[in-house]
Amino acid sequence: MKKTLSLFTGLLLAGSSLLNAKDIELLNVSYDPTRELYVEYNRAFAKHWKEKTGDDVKVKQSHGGSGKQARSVIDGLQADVVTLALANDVSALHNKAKLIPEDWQKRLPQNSAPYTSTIVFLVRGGNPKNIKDWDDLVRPGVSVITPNPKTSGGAQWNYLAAWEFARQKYGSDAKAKEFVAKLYKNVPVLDSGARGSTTTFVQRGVGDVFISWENEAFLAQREFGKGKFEIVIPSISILAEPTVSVVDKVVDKKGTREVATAYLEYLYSDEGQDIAGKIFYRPTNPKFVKKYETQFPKLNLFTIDEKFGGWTKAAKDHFADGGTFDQIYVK
Amino acid sequence: MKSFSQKTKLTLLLASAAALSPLAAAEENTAELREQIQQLDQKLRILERNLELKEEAAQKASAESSKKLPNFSIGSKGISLASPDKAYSAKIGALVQADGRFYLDDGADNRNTFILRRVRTPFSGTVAKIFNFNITPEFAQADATSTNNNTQLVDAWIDGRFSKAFGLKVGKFASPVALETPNNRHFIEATYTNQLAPNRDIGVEAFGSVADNLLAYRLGVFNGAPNNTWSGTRNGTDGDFTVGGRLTLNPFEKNDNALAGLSLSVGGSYGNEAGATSAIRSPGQQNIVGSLTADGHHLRVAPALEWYTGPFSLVAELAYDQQEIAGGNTVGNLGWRVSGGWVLTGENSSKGGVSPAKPFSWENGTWGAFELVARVSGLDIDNDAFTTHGGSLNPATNADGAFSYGAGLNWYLNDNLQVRFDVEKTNFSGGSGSQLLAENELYAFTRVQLKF
Repeated sequence: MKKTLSLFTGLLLAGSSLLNAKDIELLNVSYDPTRELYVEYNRAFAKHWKEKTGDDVKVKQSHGGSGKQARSVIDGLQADVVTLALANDVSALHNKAKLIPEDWQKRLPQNSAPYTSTIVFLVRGGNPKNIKDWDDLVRPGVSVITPNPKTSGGAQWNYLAAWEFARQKYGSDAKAKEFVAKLYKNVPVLDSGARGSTTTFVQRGVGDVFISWENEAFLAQREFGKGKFEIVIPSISILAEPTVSVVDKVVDKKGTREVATAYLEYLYSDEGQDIAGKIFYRPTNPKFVKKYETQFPKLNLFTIDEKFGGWTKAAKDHFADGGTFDQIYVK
Repeated sequence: MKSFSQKTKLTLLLASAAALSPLAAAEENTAELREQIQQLDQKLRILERNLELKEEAAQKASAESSKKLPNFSIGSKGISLASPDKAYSAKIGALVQADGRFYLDDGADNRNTFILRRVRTPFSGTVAKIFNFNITPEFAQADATSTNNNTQLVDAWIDGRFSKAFGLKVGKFASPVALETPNNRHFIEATYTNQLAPNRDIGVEAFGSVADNLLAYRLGVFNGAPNNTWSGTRNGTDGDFTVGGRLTLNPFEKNDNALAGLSLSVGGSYGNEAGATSAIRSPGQQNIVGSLTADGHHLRVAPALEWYTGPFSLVAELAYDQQEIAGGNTVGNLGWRVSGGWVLTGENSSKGGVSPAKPFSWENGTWGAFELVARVSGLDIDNDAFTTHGGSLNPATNADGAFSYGAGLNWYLNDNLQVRFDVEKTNFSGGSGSQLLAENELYAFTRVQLKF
């Protein structure tokens, strides 16, 4: 009997080591305009991982307004990684559900922001409303498209960029609040995410100007041709730093920590940075910053940390319940 | 050329201005109208988009709420209930086989009968996505010849499917040695190859497939059920385990040609056995070779070929069964069969059966699918099993070989209901002292089967 059992155990062990190649599935919960980026990146990473380990990895994508996506993960969506529009949405995973450690942003280079972007204006061909800067967005009769900052990370960048412009030009937070209130009076449709706003402006033909992620504006222009839409660079804008993190509680439960971490680290590789540049995100690796420097306009950019004391404070002051957005936006 | 006075010029200018002013006003009105139309167009677009967003939000909310509800379904695959994420599910099915058995030879009397061959209500499901279970009670007779109506357990197993390449199964389930269980594909009853392999066994088995299902395997340790039986509740009198398994090669599965449905496999087992061996039955389910006393090594090898292409199917199988018996002899018996089918109505044939393109409907005048089947099979009993060579079988009352050939018609009314009709003749060699064996065997079996 002992012989029989040891024969079986031996066969089992030999068999299982031979048959060890795995099929892995990851879920990347991201924000709205990263669809094209991660379609291409996932393909590249799967090839890289197969070559490195022999394992097949399939990455499922989920997209929506960044804040909404963070809430879904907090509510139980089994995301292995999050790649959200702003650090505050990722921090919510720690603050509200302890899904990641507090110092999550220190785990990857550049504060876990492998690529950056900014906010520009997309206007209709010929710029019929003569939009040149933030001031033009509060003129009567100018219809502005931007998503809801309560649900969209991109919209929060838009909001803060407009705020900072007005604060610098008119000298106070009170004036900035007044300015932003006027701007939102010109917003006829409030989509929940940036991709929805793109649909509103580009496909449904609503509005004169779309406050857009830079990559989203370039993609719209590439898809529909330069004659149909024009990009207007405002005098001041914000350096948007979308951030990424492994969701520790999920990867430890699913046993996918190694591959999920590698997935995010590969965003900093030459291939990951090149793909980001091709899809109109600004790479952070100097080699690819140089490669794509002519693609992106030069802008006067500020950061959240410099002007708003970091995301935690900015979110509390402006987007939390009772914050400035709730005060100025009356439906 | 005539020249105009200043007064005349002024008069002409005033007259022209008077004539043009309505035109200028009209242009202004047109521009205003255009502006108004543009504004109205924008308002309409805004209203439409806001409505669209509201509808999207309502649809999303409805989809979200339905995601939280368990899925209940009832259909051709049974009654099932699944959690919204499908990680948990439970299903109740049913299998009823009502047979009519008619013997057309002059063998033993009183053999014609109606029987409930199988009455099962499999309860199966999934736990935490990767673990599955099956509990199947049998309410019909213990086997084809039994009059015992006690309920028994056919299947009771749990498996974990950790990857395509590796899973583990524990409990009582179909043995990997034989190609198919008695619930076989072409004929109502299995033939000699299944007589030389266990039916169900209790144990633990690793299973999986590699290289995109090019090679599938099953390998396990079992109590060691005797041939053509279900393992009991505990290990047999020998206390030894049996290692068994099956390797299946699907060399052309990914091809889009006639060979795609071809598979080659070999099953086998090895262990020690003691105690009574099972009697061997004819395709007509009559005992033709009696029991021996096993005492020592037991080896089984069963290679097979299966080929399903379009409406055609072909299965060939060989089973070699070698057992040391009391007295020191080693008995090696051989069984084989080749069976085939042709779906007359043109549907594809598969391991799972035939799904009719036009299910039976009296109202629509459709009849389902019909399949013609045929089988030849044989059995050779080792001389060492008989008293003339040191064994314990009486050559006068036990067959030393058999050859069977027959044909049948399977009628698939729909995915759940079948009617089958088989006629098969068996010629026995040896055992001339037995009326049954002397007369050979000719039967006509029918079956009505409900399965979901």
